[in-house]
Amino acid sequence: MKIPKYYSLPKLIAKGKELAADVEVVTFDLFDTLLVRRIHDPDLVKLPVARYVANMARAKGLDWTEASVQKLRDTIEARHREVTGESFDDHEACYPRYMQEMLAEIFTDEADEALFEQVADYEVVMENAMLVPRYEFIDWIKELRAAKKQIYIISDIYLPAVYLKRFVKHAGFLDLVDDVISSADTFLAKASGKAFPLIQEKYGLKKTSWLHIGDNPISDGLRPLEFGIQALVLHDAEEMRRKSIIRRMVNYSAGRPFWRGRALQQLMLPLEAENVDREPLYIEGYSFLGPLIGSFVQSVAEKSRKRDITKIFFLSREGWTFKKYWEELTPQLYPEGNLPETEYLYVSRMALAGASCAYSGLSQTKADIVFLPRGNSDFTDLCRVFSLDPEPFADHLARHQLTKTTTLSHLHHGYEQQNSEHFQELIRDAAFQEEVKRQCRPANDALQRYLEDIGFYDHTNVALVDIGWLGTIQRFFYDAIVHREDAPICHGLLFGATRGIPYPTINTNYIEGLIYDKDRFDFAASAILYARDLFEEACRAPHPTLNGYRLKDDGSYELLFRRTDDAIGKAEQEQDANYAPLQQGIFDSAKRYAGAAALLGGKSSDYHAWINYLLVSKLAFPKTKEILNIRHQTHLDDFHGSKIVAKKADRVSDELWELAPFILRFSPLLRIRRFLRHMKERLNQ
Amino acid sequence: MADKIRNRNYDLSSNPMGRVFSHFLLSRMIPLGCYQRGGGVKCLLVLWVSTVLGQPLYYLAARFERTMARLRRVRAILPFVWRS
Repeated sequence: MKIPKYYSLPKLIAKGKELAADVEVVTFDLFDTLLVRRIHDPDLVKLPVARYVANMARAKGLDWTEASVQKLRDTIEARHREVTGESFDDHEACYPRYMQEMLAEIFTDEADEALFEQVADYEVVMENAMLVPRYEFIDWIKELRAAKKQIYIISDIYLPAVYLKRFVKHAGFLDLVDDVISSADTFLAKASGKAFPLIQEKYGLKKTSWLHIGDNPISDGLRPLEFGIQALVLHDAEEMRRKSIIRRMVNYSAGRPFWRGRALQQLMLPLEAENVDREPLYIEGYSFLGPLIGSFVQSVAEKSRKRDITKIFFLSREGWTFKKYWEELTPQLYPEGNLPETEYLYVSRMALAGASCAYSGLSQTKADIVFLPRGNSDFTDLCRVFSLDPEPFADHLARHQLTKTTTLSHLHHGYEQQNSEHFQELIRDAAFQEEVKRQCRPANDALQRYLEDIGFYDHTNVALVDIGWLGTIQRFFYDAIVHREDAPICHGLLFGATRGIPYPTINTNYIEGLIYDKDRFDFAASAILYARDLFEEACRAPHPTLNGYRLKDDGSYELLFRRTDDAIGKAEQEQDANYAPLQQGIFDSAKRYAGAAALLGGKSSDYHAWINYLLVSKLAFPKTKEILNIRHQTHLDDFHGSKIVAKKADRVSDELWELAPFILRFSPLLRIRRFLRHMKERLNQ
Repeated sequence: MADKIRNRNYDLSSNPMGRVFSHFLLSRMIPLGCYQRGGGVKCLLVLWVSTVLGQPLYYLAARFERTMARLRRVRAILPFVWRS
């Protein structure tokens, strides 16, 4: 019997439309026909479920691993199929029956209906994350429905129809079909051909007016033809190619870690109707920044579990993006929970600078941090950053031959070496420090009220998650809280730690760069230094920066945000609007990252090699159009000041990401030259 | 100018396999950093062919599946054939 096979979907649909004109009923296979899986092997979707069950078992003190749970599932399923085969032609199994038996074997008395539902729900979530409807079929089904045809979905699978309906509903076409039929409910499958008489009888269908479409030449081709139904079989070459690519990437991953991250990205790819036209910035957010942030957030979750961190504080403003990503990522990747609480913490360098001096005073290092940006030059800049009133310091300055406008930065006109020496004497002056503490105390008191309000001191181990780079925010923050006996241990988890000024690491306060850390030699990851501002701007929350904490007269606190109607505020809003598609791409990638990472079962370190490749290829060797597309238009803040540097120090930036388009396009070997310079700088460090 | 995240070759439009391949070649000349043994020439070649030239190849493989299966059986008994 010749089975009508079609090697492309449009051809099959064209033939189907021709035949459908004369039939009343059209039945479809579900998997690999109406729905395709992102992964090549459907059995791989079972592995995250096995991991989930094993994690739950371990939490109860039971000795189970992902592999042993999967093996038990396979054994019980095989036994069920064997038993079914004794009474039926099809060796089918029924998911609820064998899964309940498996759970009873693992959890003994604690295995109840609720536990099964919990596990089954996660299996459905994972399946839904991997299933994509084929829009050409769905469009055709809509036409068939409009022509009043009866439409049924028939599947040979271990999942009863109630689960299949959940997949179809998630895919968005349950209302277009009359019913969904699964072999798991009756043990009469298409493979033996027994499903067709059953369906005919149940729904009163006519063989002569029935068309069946599927992908299996036996179940969906030969069996219906033998029964007297017209059948079309899809043997889609493009699907073969797609699955072959992801299969190879997953297989290569076993021996070459480089491909793990690429396989992850392949699973994240939008398929079918999901793959619509997007703005270039959205694509970069989805394909470049999304996986980087995903890997970072996954790494934060892993570190938190390892170090018994009970609460994660995502620091404003970049933490806003990390928190949103966390909220999308963790339910799928860590279904068993067992993760710290999270909170968005309103902080900024400007807001914390003053509060940090209330008990410890103004240290030389803190003052040095102020004079790192080129726009700060004198004591008034110091006062602006630390929210100090310069007037009461006049006598203290005079005692050390300084005025509030004496140049203290070597980049500016009027600087002399002795100015720095006098300033160091001022820092050592106890009376000066007393005045600093007096002025900073209200800000610190307000900060304490805020932290008490959000339960910061209720924990002994907290993580402070931020973008980086010197760890200035955490340095100021820790100085502001360290005087309290109930101050928790602060684990600083940064996207990148450049450590331009050495961080005062102690057991109760440290920072660690998870994607890049200067203290951990990783040359490829250091490519992040090419465009740090890009990450800051891309992750920034859509609210103004915090300027300070104000203690009100009634003893409560108020968070003071920066105005948005001046030049800096407006420039920031403009930049936010420009980067809106980039951020949307990042957020949209979160769910796909979660599904893909849960399926592959890797740790964040598994994607390290690919992340390194992304950083080097996109930041050190970008295409000109990528630089022009991604680079930010403005990056301003109050911390940087606005003083103009001396001409001899005013070197025009020749960083790759700041060069003119003409130079980027035509300067010979530009990227290689810049990379060699970058290499030299890193090695000298 | 709008574009798609995935190109017609089931590859990342912003970072296609050709770019990975050229980066690999560059890494042979300049130390670019730690890629944990990198992608490997064979893997890169197979994936590049699958993505860039895959469309006609997979159509033929699907169309002449039985013949291909016979060829695979022959290949399996040959000791020196390159396997991907």
